Amino acid sequence: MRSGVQFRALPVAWAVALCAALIGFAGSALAQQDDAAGPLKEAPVDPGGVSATETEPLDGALEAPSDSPEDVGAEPSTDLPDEEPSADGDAPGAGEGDEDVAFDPGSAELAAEHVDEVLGDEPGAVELALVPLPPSSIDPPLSRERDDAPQASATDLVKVILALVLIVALAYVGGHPRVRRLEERLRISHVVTAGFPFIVLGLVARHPSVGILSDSILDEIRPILPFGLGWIGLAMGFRFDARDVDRPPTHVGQTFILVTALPFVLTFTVCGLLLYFSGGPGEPMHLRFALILAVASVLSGSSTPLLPRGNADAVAVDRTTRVIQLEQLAAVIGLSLVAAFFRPTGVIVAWQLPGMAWIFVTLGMSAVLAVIAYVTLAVVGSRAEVMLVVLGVISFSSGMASYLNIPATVVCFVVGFMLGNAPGSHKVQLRETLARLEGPIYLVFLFLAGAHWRLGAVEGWALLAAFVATRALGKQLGVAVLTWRTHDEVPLEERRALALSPMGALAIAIAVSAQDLFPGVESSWVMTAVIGGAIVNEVFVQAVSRGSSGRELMEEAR
Amino acid sequence: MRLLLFVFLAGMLHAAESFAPDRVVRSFPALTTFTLGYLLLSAYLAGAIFKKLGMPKLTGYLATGILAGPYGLGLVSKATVEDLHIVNGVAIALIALTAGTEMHFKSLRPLFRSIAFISLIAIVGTALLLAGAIYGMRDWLPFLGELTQYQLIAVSLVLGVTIVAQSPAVVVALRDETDADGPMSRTVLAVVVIGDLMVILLFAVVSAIARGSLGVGADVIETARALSWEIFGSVALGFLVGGLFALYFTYVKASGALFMVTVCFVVAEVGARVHLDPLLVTLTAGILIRNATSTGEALHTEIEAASLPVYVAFFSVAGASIHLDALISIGGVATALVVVRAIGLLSGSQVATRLAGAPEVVRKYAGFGLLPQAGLALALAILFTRAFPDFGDGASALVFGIVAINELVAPVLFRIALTRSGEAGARGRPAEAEIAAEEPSAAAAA
Repeated sequence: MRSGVQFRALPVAWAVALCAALIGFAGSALAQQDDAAGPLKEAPVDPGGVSATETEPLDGALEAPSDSPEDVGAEPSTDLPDEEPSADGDAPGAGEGDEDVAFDPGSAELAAEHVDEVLGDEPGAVELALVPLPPSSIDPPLSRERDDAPQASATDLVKVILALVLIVALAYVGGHPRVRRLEERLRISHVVTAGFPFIVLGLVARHPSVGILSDSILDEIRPILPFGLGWIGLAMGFRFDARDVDRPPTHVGQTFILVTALPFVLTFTVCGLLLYFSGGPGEPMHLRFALILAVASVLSGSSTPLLPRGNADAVAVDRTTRVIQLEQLAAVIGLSLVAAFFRPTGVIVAWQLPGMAWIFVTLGMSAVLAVIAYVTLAVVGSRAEVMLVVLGVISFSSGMASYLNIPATVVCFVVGFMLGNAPGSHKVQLRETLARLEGPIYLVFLFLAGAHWRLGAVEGWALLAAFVATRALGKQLGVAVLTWRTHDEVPLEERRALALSPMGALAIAIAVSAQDLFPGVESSWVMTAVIGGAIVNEVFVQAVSRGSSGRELMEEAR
Repeated sequence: MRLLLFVFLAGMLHAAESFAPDRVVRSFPALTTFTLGYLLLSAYLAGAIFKKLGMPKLTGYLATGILAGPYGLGLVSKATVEDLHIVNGVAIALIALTAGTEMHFKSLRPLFRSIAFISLIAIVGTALLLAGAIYGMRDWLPFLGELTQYQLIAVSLVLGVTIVAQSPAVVVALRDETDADGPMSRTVLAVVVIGDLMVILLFAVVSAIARGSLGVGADVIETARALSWEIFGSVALGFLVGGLFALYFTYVKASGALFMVTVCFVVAEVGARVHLDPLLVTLTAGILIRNATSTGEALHTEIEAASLPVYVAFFSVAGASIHLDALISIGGVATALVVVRAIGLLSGSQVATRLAGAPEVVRKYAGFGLLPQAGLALALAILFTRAFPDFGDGASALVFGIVAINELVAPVLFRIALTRSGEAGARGRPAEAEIAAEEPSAAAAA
């Protein structure tokens, strides 16, 4: 799970996650204040159609409601939307279209739009009341865009300040060399830096009793998810060197097949049966979730504590690395096949094409995006421009893919693969940019994945147990068969690393992709199985690794 | 090649949107990501094309937004533009932080007189001139039709103050883009920042008077209290944020750009919710770091690394939000007021710099830096709508039209001014003002 994560960036990523939590806290605190003040629709409304909740200080002074109905000539509150705002400030019907935009109490703009609506039909309304509000804001207003939010209490302000202090403190403590040395000494750095604390942090922040990340805030930051999926795909694709496939070390092919095929078949069979019985025989689409779990089960992290690169046999390390790369390739292919052949149907996907056509669409789109990225990178100059183009390419590719219900990870993997294997001087700068930003983006992605993780369903836990068991059994069986077939030519250390490998970031990306592509209750079970399975697996591998390390130390002492 | 890519990207966006047209008109997370990527790439390419044509890159970013936006080709829907406004908060805070780190008091000391005179004469004078022009053009402004003389004067004053607002964002972005430094650009930056605060204060005062003239109650004490909280509270938080930045860049250092963007995001989101001004918070932080700590340079370097994607996203989203429909409906009067504003600011800064004895380069070109205009005027227009619901919409349309023209024209003029003044590309060279300031003491020592 350590793949590509820059340890240096950990403190900042902590800060990012905490910031998100802080924002969520502020949002929820204000939402609670809103609730305490009563729902907006019930608030007294001035004759101008402006809610009384808008009459706080500053803006209130600037925009105190009109005293006389004649000033406006509009109807009172009857024009306000009928829908009841939810606890976190959302209104039902949000995002239903341009015409019926959500009535969000936190949005001053909408209040202004409401003024438009109210005035528009009245005889006294001015001729030019045609312009929809609000405009863009290049320079910041003094609290003008959220002036219907209640005035903050001193407690809120203190909390905000303390949280800011805490961010810096955590970043400082996390990045301090002594803390790093302590982690190394305790050998906990792998678990800690793998990012699982960020998943847990997201999970806690999302929990209703904590109430830090509300639905509305999650919706607001949801565009980061496809971006994160795309980033993981592009980074992995970029590192995939096509030349490695041409001249593999001995036994790579059969090692790959054995440690991939057996976990795949076992996981697919057991999890498929579980899904089948949990959903009833009338749910053939459970097959796709079983396939997604099977695809996730084949994956291993790009580094393992059981095969440390410093002291292990170089051939063994090389072979393991190749096998892991091939696993990633297989998983990407598997995900694209599942997404193409098990697409949701109906109005959500306007184009109705056969599964194979979707494969062609995926590949063609990825190739075109790669060409765009390649040509754009060829004309950039400075480091800042490279960063901009990388962000733009990932955002464009992942957004487009997700919009078309194609896995963003797959599309970006292909883009990254083509960029990484095409000739040109862009690769050095691209590699540097990816390395610089990869860690924090990855950790923020895990934080959001944790926030979208629903733990409640028993089915998810059952799948988790089945997933962990079948994956471990499949890998062990695969290694056993490998030992038998190669007559112990593959070193013990390598076999142990293959059998007890941690799961990589791609496995979690696949689970999140499932939720992105096939939203529904089953995809939340898949997330529980894969994310929970990754955590369980990681802890188990760490325990084994620490145990073996202890034995080695004792042997050394003897 | 860039043009080809620019067109191709638009084609891809359009083609993909045809997949599920119903998703385009509403808020859809993947579409937000997709559109952001499109704007980043297209605006970057357009910026390069505009630069080749001798125009500011920033205008290219804005033009991309306008072209793709809901009032242009419609590739980016209103709902998506709304979703993308999340970029604004970070950008504003980051731009203000940049402005703060540029305000080195030691370098600005010789220019204090010019800054004060321009702020007072050019800004206040132009606000009065604009108020007079609006009063004079009342027959072409139907929303003012039913007001009495006294009310008309008061409302004209409020509109005059609203329309005179400048744009620190554009000034900072153009300074960065052209690598400009020198007495003129420093003066302009200081004036637009101070002008921003002055306009907000003036707006509060004149709108309270206007509301009184219309028989609408205005609580003066409450206004003063809220303004105090907003200004002094923001400054106090700015000191804290500045201290945190200084600590971070002294002891942690790693991934400074990301940390900075994160803190800006927090300040923008949380600050607005607790009625503090993100601009003022990060501006104060920047000034503090620049003038009271040794980490100013480190912070500035990190800002430069992070600023390009933020600027591109910010200005292209701003372009997509420009209400071209407003410009069409009220174009004539808006154009006239743009001309009046330009005359007022240019002549006002000429007079002010002469009185202050400013260097020649400041006298000749500083006025052009006051012309760019953007969000503050728009935000005040929203407040105007709420404060005067009877005719606020008409006034908003007028302000939107004026801002649209200024957004397109003023950056070009300011870029020309930066180039002609010789300050473009001068960053890193010893500033003339500093040399001039040091000359007398050096002569005395000799």
